[in-house]
Parts: sequence; C-alpha cells; structure tokens
Amino acid sequence: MRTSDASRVLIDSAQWPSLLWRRLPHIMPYLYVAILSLVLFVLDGRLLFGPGAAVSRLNTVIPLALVAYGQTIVMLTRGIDLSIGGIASLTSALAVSQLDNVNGLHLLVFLLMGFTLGALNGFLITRARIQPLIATLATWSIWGGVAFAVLPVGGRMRTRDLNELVTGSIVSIPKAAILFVGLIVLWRWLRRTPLFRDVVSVGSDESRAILAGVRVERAVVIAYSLSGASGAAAGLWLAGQNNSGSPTVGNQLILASVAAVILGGMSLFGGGGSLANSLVGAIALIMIPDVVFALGFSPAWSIFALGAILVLAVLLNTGIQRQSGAGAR
Amino acid sequence: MRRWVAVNRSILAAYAVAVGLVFVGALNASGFASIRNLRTIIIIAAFVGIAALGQTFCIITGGIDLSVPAVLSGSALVTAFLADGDVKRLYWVIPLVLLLAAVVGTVNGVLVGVVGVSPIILTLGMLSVVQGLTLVFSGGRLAPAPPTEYVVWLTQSLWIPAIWGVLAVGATVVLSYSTLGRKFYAIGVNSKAAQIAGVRTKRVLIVPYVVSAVGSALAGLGLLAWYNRAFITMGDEFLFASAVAVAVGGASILGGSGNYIGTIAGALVLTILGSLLRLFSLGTAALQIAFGLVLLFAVWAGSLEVMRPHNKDASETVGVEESP
Repeated sequence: MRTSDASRVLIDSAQWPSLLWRRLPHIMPYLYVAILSLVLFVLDGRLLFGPGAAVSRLNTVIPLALVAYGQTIVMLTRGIDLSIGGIASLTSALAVSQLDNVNGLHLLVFLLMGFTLGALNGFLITRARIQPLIATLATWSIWGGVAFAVLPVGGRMRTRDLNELVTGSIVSIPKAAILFVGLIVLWRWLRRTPLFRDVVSVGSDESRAILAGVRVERAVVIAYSLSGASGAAAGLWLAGQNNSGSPTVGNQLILASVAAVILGGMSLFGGGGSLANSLVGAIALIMIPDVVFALGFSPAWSIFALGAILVLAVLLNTGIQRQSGAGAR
Repeated sequence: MRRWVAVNRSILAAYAVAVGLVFVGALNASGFASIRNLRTIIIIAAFVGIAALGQTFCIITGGIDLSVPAVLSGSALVTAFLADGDVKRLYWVIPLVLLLAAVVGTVNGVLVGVVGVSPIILTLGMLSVVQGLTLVFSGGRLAPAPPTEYVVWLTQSLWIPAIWGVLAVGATVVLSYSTLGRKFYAIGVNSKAAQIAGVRTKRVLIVPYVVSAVGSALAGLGLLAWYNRAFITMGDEFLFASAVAVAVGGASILGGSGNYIGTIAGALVLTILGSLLRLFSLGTAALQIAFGLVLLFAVWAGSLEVMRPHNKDASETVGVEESP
C-alpha cells in the first residue's frame, strides 16, 4: 500500500516505463486474448465471428470461469485448491444419480454441499495446519472416490430439467452471458467487502495480518468455502449443459482453473490478483484449442500448448514481480 | 537407542502399520502372506518407491514435483512405440527415454532453482506439456505391446526389487552421508540461510527434479513390463502415490526433514493397503477415499511431531524481534 501511494506522489515521466512494467501482469490477460483473437481472425475469421462461435465459446468458458472464481480467491490467500475438481465431479455424479425434477432448492442444496466441503478444506488448513496443496490433494482423492461410489460409470441425466435451466436464452441473451456478467458484478461487490480485504491481507503477509487483528482463520475458511461452492456450481453447469455427468468430469478443471488464474496475472508473492483478470485468463485458455485447430495441428497439441502457456505465464509473472521488488521481501 | 526411536518414531510407526496390514490380510485370506503375493506387493511397491525417490528429494528441499504421472506414462509409451516389439532396440531406446526424462527434469530444476518459479505451478504446467507431447507422439494410436523377452526378464525375476534396493541404498547414502544431501536439508529448512552459508542453492536445486524425472521414467519402464502394455493414463495414480508415500514416511511437506527409508515404508503401506482393499473386493472408489484419509492422517500426525519443538523456536524468535 505504502509503495503505491508513494509512487503516485512521485510520479514523473521517467517512471512511466517501470510503472507500466509493474502493471504488466494485469494487462497480460487482455493481451493474451487479443493476440489469440488476432491469430484466429487472420487464420479463419469464422472461428471468431461465425454463427454460434460466440455462444459456444461462452458455454465452454462458464464452468472454467466458475472454478477460476474460487481458485482466484483461494490463491489470493497464497493457497491452492485441487479439490475443486473432486467437488465438481461429486456434484456431477450426484446430479445424474439423484436429481429428477429440478427446482431452486435442489440447486441451493448442491451449492451448500460444495460450500461445506470447501469449509472442511479450510479447517484442515487452519486447524490441522496441513499445507493447502496436500490437504486439497487428499480431499480431491476422497471426493473423487465418493463420486465413483455414487456413479461408477458416467450417464445421462434422468430429466432434461437442468439442461433446460442452463441452456437457451432470456430475451435473446444467452443465459451463459447473463451468468458471466453476473460473476463480474458479484466480483465488483465482493472486492469492496471487509471479508475480501481480510483475504488479501492474509495472502500478503499472514503474520502482519494477525497483528493487525484480521481473523485469519475465518478469512481462509471462507475463501475455501467459496471455492468449494464454485466447484459445485461448475459441476452442476457441466451436468446441465451436457445433460450427462461422470465421476471424473472435474479432473480437467483443476489444471485449467490454476492456469486461468496464472494467465490472469495473479501475484505468487501474495496480495495481488483480480477476479476479472482471471475470467479474461479463462477466455484466453478456451481459445487455445481453436487456435491449435486453426493452425492445422492435431488436437493433442492443445494439451501441450496449455501447459506451455502456463509455464511461460508463470515465468513472466515471476520475473516481473521479482524485478519490481514484490518478491524481495 | 531411545533417542533413535524418538527421532524416527513416525518411520517406525509406518513400518509397524505395514506389518500390521499384512497380518490383517493374512487373517482374512490364507494366500495373502504367501511368498507369491508378497512378491507381487513388493514389485508394485517398488514402482511407487522408485517414482517417489525423486519426490522425496524434492519435498526435502521444500518443493514438489507434480509432473511425475506424465513422465511415467510418457516414458512407457515412447518405449513401447520405439521398440515396437523388438527387444534389440531397447539397447538404445531405454537410454534415450531416460535422457529425455532427464531433459524434462532439468527444465523443471532450472526453472525452479535458477529462475525461482513456484514448483507447484511450474510442474503442473510441465505435466500438461509432457502429456501433450506424448499424445502428439502417439497420435492417438494404440501402443504396441512391449517386447516379450523384456516382459519375461523383468517380471519373472527379482530384478525390480533388486533395482529398487540398489536405488534405496544410493538415495540413503546421498541423503545421510553426502554433502549434497546435507545441502538438500539446509535448503529445505531455510534456503536463504543456506545460500548465506555458501550453498549454491540454484545449482543444487536442479538435482532433485532431474532425479524425480529419471526415477519416474524408470518406474514407467517397469510398469510397461508389469502391465504388458502402455497407455496414457497409466501414471495418473502415481502423482498421488508418490506424495503420499513421502508423507506417510514422515517427511514434512514444508521441507527440511524426512528420508528415503521412511518413503520405502510409505510405499509399502500404500501398496499393502491397496491390495487389502482389493481383497475385500472394494474398488477404485474405496481406494481413492482410503488413500485420501491416509494422506490426511499421516500429514496431520507428522505435523504434531514437527510442531512441538518448532513452536518453541518460533516464540523465541518473536521475542527477539520485539525487543528494541
């Protein structure tokens, strides 16, 4: 905080390059999307503007945006949540095996379940003092196992209720678009709340946060709870969108959620990161398979490209944050 | 002797659990403790143990290697394709695959050690990179069966446990009796202090990741013979297994403690538990749940042990800091 105030006072033309350099991680997600869009536009404009391209891209991005949401909040506390995939799988398995007629109450119960499972992660981390990576690796395995027990093989939903709920549009605006805008509005509200300030302060410097009277445990538990709820929401959305579920559907979301947050410019030294940026990172991420396709490579290359871009983005973030002194602490 | 027991309490506990699990198995099925079944258990434990060898080094230095599964299945698939059933080709294929794995490990190590990237996110990215390259290489084709002579040579003999034994002795010597091992622990406890004390942390940190990648490739080569086929998901359970084996073996995930003798116990506990659950005809679901619970319990029990002396140190340092 102090440094940013100081730089605001002392700003002169000579400092602009370094200021821009420091802001670069937060500009990068937009650059990624711009570059990928440009490549797509040059190679095959239909992939970008063709009929249904925008809607199908929105539908693909929603589950990823949901898990990126939770992952961002968790990574702001300098944690990581691998169990987000297990919770999504469990939700998907439960939706297929248990849901007949869907009403709001059912959805609420699923979200609450995700919230509770996430809170459990939070308690394992704060009370049992288990490292976030290990705690969520273990719960990923447990909830993935429960998902297998609930639904040994993937299957179709019993009714089309959930499918009708998440697909289609309201006054010719796709529901996916409404949800995406809703996520951004929620973020703009969330980041002004005292809770969110606590989350950021825990990630910046936990011992100072304790000295400043922040209730660290509460902040961490709520961060993981929100992450669990977002995992459940992603599982529900996937089940509704595909009208089917599987006990392993969430596993692909783990790497992708972390990648979206890193592409979004999250500071790995704590305290810096924006959910809106993570959502843009998620958009960049889902464009990768399209670009790989447009370049004429086989789809297998997109898994390579995803990893390579994650590695490059984390290198870039680390390099910039080291240089600007954030890591010198 | 008493001190030795106190220091190695968690490792002894892990071995006790392993023996206890064998007894439980033997009580429920007459063939469980037979030489034949124990040999199978030791061979499977060897795959876990060899894949977890580098993981032990990584975790001691305070890092982790999540790219284990991709390197493992990648090495098995590439070997199966390049050998194409001809045992003579293995003379150049196996060194080549181990070299490729070493390259992956070097990339991990250089980026973690020299550039200072978060090992969790970097190795997660490399997992995807290696998996993608493997998929591109295989082109979605079914891998040919490995050479029969190779399969028979490895599975009908005691070569796999023997290789594991040699590697275990090597790892223990490196960790307990070499300066390199001391440097690993020093970095894991406090990398800045280690650097000030003259450890070239950047260079030293490359080693654990290279060992991890080569070890994962060796485990992949062994599993290729054991399963008699190669497929892209064959390594998936090893991400979990390697981390659990190290944690059950008493190493702190925070780094700076643990040794390979503990990891061996961890690998045995995991494998025996897995075969015990199969004995009670419980499937993937129960296995995953049990492994998760075991991991949580092991880390929790280990943290209790680490925290007691640690907390005292911490309170002392705070006291020093606060005095003007």
